[in-house]
Amino acid sequence: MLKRNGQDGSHPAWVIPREEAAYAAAWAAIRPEFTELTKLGQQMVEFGRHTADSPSTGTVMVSDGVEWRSQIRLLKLPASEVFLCRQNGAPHFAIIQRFEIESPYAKAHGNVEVLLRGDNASQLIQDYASEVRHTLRFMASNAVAKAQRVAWKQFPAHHPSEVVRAISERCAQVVGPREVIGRSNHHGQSLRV
Amino acid sequence: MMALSKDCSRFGTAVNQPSVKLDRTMVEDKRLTIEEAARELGVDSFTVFSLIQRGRVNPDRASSGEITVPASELAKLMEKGG
Repeated sequence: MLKRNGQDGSHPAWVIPREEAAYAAAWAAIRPEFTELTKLGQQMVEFGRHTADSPSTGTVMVSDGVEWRSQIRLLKLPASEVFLCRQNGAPHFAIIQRFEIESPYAKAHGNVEVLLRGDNASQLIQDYASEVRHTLRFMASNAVAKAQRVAWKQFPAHHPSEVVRAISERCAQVVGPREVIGRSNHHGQSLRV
Repeated sequence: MMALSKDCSRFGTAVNQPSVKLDRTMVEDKRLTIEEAARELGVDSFTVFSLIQRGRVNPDRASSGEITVPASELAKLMEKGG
């Protein structure tokens, strides 16, 4: 069911009534992805507030024989967490992702994975934030493609390209700066949001 | 892991027969959605997208534009050091 005034599932005013069904179907198809994007986007806001001078009193993690102590939890994901860590006894830092120990991925590669490392903690955070923003845009692009498939398949006569544009704009709002989200639609025009 | 294991064993059988020259691209390869791939790995969707961006998994793109992950790519990733 559609809701207005910025609530979950709302659509822009220019989505006219005959497009609402297509919008609702496409939106329902990507609701889980949008929810995840929103949560990650909110955590990204916190990135800018982290400082690297927090005391190293967190959990000790070991990767390739090196002991790292967590300083800041940067991301809390459904099945993993990402930390800024400092090497025990040395001025080296790393961005480390910790997976659930029983996951197949952790069993194959270990539950601790170093994503980035360096001597400047603030720079590492910035670099990782940039990577995360890139990943969020990738996720948003995929969600828009999914919405596009659903809209065109179920409602080909209901201006699906306009519906896709509306959804693309909503996704862009949670992943950051304006740019192309998604690929060309069925009329060959890029989805500029 | 059932689907993945099935694909792995199929590749193993084909590759191990010396009289049959098959490579992975010639064998029908099941395509998984990002969510399915995440479930297979026991990670989240974000991590699968991140693995793709870091070049550790080579994805495919469906005609709709949606990203899919060949089961053979997950099998390679799950090999130690993959």
